[in-house]
Amino acid sequence: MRALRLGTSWGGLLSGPLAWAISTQLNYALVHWQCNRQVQVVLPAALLLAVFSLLGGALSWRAKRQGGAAFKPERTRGTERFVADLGILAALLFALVIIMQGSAALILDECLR
Amino acid sequence: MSSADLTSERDLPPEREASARGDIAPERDGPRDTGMDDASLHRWLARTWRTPPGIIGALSSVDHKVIARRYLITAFLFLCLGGLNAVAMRIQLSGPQRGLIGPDLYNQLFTMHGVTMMFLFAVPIVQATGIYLVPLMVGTRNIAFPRLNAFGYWVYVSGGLFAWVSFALSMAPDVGWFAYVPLSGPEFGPGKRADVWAQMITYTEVSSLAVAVATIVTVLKQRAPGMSLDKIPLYVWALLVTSFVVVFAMPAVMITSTFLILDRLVGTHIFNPAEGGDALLFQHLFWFFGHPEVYIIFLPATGMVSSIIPAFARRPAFGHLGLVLSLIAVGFLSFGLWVHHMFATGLPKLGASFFTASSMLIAIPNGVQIFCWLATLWDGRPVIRTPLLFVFGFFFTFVIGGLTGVMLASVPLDLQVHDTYFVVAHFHYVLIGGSVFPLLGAAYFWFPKITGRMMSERLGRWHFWLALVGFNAAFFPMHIVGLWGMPRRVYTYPAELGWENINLFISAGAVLFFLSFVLFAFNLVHGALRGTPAGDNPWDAGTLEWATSSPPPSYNFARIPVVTNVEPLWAERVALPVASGLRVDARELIISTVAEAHPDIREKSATPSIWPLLAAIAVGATFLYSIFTPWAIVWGAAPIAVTLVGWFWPKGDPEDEE
Repeated sequence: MRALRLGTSWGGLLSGPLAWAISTQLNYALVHWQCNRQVQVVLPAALLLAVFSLLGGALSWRAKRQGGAAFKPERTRGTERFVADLGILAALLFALVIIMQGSAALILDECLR
Repeated sequence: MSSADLTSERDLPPEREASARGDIAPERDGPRDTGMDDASLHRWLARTWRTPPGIIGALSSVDHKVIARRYLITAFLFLCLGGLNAVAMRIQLSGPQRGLIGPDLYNQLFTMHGVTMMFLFAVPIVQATGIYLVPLMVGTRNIAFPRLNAFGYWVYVSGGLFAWVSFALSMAPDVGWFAYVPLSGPEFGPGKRADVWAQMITYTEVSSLAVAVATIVTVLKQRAPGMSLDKIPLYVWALLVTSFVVVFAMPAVMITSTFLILDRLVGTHIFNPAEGGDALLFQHLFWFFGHPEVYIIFLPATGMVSSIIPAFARRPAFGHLGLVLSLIAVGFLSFGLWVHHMFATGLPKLGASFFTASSMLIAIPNGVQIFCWLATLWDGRPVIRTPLLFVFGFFFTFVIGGLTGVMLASVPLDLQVHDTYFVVAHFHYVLIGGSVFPLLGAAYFWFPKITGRMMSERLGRWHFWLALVGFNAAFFPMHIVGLWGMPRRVYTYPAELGWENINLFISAGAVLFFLSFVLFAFNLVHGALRGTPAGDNPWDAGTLEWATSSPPPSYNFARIPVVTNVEPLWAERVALPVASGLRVDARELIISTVAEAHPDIREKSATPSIWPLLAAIAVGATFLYSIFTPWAIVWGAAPIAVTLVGWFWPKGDPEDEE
């Protein structure tokens, strides 16, 4: 809870790559499923994961706003801010990649080979 | 920060009772460097850290600089061999229907060229550069796990010898550097050639993994006091990210090669669709390694560029944060592109498009890097020397390779030019432009540190222009001949297709490019023997490797520096603050915290040992034997176990002290 309240500098660094890895693997696997059942799952899954990535970025943002060293008092501000900046930017970048991946479902038919 | 005793004493109160437990010797306290005069300090450290004389001593060395030098020279020799393969192929292709090389030898040639360049040159040389520079740049006295590092080198040498002796015996793999099944499987790959590929891959990846682990631990735990995450040099960041990529990518190819040899030797049917196996699984597993491999080669090169540009632009790198973010993002994204090598395998189009998206968007962090470097040059006062020339060559070449990469990431275009010389042109632009040009720049840049002498600037400029012109003459026309439809991996072509003039031109370019390396080799030897003395910091660069003498002493730094800035030598022009409190009669290092690099404990570093060599011989013999019988694993386990027991048996060294 404290991590949510005070922010976590590495939040975006974790959530971005993780969400993107899940998106790549899950959506790749879901293509067959979507083809068989004709239910749109790829795009909603991608959007959810993009939000997850951004939430981690928000934690990094909060950590930066709180002055950085809130969670671990022994951390120096500079290091904490550096990691928080990395987290925010990573979350944004990976969210963009996930949305780009998901948006392919708007254009391509899932059964096309 | 002033000179101060920064190493914490809390791990070792002097009055602590030394209790002997089992084989672990009790901690003894010895003389420390605190307050010691420079002459005595040098005497102590030189005696403690020296590599013993004699052949056994040399073979036992665990000094990261000694191992790295051997690595660099060996990798350069493999570059020459792989280059000669290429020249032979280009002579054969210089005209239609030439009979110099037959199809069987040609198959071995292009396979050995790819295998040598990827596994025996590119990855080892970037790792070797890291072995040399990372401990110096983070301000420590040796790499972490120095014996593992030595072991890695010996395994690599044995793998390379294995491959090239096989080639000499006309037993070299002939199935392409990625050895797809079913071509390499038991049905279509008789003889031992594909087995040589499989085991040679496993060898070299064992070595890469060992070096990667040592590098990661060095960066995370051995940084000089004060080198917090935001003050780590970009080159070190690059090597850290690369090493993590190695740790996650290499096991995939080791599994692939092991599955392949199981199919071939034990009779499993993992890749045999007729028996419920899956041939496409091979490609998935291989490219899950294969694409990150490109970035394993490329990321350290970007680190080199990030070191060279600030030194010659005379200002710190613009956008340090953006550059670090790019390295990390590229490291992750490199794992999500592999299917773009498999667009022609009939995968669902929507599934493939996810990889198209990642392949195109990885251009964003790469583009951020390029713009940060350009901004650094724009805002600085660039001094044009040979290393910077090669960086310019890298920009020019790599951007072209990147553009054709974005083209190939699109499925329709990829299907059109799949398996043509367009692809050959693309990946040579990426690999030579993205990695070899920075490596050549790095060679001119760090050569003075390694040898204490400068390379010739005049020859360097000649080398650069020869390499740039030769490279582009050799590879740019391949785009065109690829679009005309010339397939890869053909040993000849008929005259009526009209490809002969362009191929002759390509071959002439290849010879020019080859000559540039001859000039480079001459410059290396000439520089090492006759070069002007370099001094500690000939380029007036800002990172820690330039704080010590050239070549560095066995202990790297007489006193461990304390870091206050990302370019410590520019921030502390008068004198670098230093830490003290380390023992001088034992190989002691400062172990620091991961984020802040607060000095945490003092730790012993391993002493020289012959056991890593013996262990590597045992491992090598087992791998060699295993291409003939699976029982090799059983019989080989015994000598490997013996050598490992010998390696880890407590010998009463300071490192065994608790």
